[in-house]
Amino acid sequence: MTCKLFLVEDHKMMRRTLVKLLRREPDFAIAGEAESAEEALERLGTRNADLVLIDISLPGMDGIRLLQEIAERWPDLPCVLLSAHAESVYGAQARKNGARAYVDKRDVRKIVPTIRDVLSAKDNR
Amino acid sequence: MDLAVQQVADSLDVPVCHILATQEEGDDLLLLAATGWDGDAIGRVTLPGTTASQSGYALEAGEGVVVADYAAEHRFQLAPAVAALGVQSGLSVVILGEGKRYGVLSAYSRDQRDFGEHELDFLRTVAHTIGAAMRQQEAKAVRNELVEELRTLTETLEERVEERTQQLQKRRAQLSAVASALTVAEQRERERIAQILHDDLQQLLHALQMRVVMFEEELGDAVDDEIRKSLAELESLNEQALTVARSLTVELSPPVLEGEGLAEAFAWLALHMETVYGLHVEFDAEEKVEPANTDLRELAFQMVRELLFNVVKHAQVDEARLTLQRRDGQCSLTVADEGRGFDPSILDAADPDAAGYGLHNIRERLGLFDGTLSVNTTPGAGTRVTLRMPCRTKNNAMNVDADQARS
Repeated sequence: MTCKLFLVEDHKMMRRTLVKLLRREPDFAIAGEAESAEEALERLGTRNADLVLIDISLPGMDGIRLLQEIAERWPDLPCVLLSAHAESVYGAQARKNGARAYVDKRDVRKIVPTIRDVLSAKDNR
Repeated sequence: MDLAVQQVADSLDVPVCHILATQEEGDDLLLLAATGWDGDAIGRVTLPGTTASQSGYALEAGEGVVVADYAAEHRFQLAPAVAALGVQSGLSVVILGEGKRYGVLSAYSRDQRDFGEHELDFLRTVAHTIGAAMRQQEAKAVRNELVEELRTLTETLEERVEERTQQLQKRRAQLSAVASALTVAEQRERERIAQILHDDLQQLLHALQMRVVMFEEELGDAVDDEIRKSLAELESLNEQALTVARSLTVELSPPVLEGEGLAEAFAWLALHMETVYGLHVEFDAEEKVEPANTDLRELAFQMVRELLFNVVKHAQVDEARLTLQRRDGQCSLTVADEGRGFDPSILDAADPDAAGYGLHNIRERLGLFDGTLSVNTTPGAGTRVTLRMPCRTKNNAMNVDADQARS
């Protein structure tokens, strides 16, 4: 079964790299991309995403606020927060606001397994 | 004076008596007081000095002059104004006061009369009294003038002092505003650079790292050990670059300083000092103690960080204590260590920051925000630096909230 991922990341090079990373997984598909939280909220309604990958630092509304918005509009849609800050800085705040997982961008090898963990936890509910 | 001339006239039984006063400029003598004259003349009429009048002559001669008959007088002329009074005999004496010639006292008879030594002595006595009075009056006038001048000077001085005090207060307020604006500007600039580092440089480094890892994984077992080793080195170098960029970002603008309270920011700082510099910071905070506004909070954070760096650089210990308390209605922040300490007299030196502690700079900056710094240290017995600054109260809490809403 294909897992449809939606990506919210403002940095173009980072977004392209993430897409490339996720596309290597045969059972992952990119359901959509957004450069900002506002754009993500617009597009998420029309895309049938299984999981949203959110960068914490976004222009305008930040990743934490986006988590809150998504939790309110689509409570069953799992979100994973990606950050250039260590988990000790924003991890607790992210979880409190509905993130199922928090991944430090420097832990590249943890990104895909974390997504898989969250998806399987969702399936097991 | 009027009374004096009247009494002389009565005593000598003469119809005319007057006082002529010397003036500051010229030789003319002014009619100061008189009897036998038209009242309007007093204070207006002047008689010529020198030999053009009896008084002028007496003044020049410096002695009493007695004339029995003006028709037979040749030493001087009788002034026409006096002659017009119809006088025939007269006498004059100089009015002296401590050696200064103030004028001439004269008495005249319309009959021919031989004034003797007795009358002349009497006139001299009166002139002496008048001279003393004039001298006293003059001294009094001088004194009054001096008193008035002194009063004006005092008033001017007071005005100047008030003016300068106001100017100083204004300058101080301006300086304080500039210091505050500088602190804010410095913080904003730090945030701006931190944002560039975070939003761009760090993202590029993260993307690069992801690409290296992906490349490594894609190559799988198909490459030899040399290439694998090079890729691992590349990853490690990138990792180091990320560490530097991240640490610089955090140093410039700790994420926790935005929004959270000062205690949370210090808790983060304590952790950061331990992780990055190996300094264990025992942090103790009273609840809800916040500086008066966000500018001061940012300043307090930067200063405490500088003080902790001092411990790292100078104290030669790996432990410090940081306390945040409310003391006498102020925020009190103390950084203490049991390290090397230093000679506190360097703080009073001409260039107190030459030793590299930066405490003078902290004291100056804090002073502009009505804060104080105190240092307790002895060589070999540790250092304790306490910063005091205005605390957040119910009255200024609204401003702080407004500040936070803006930022």
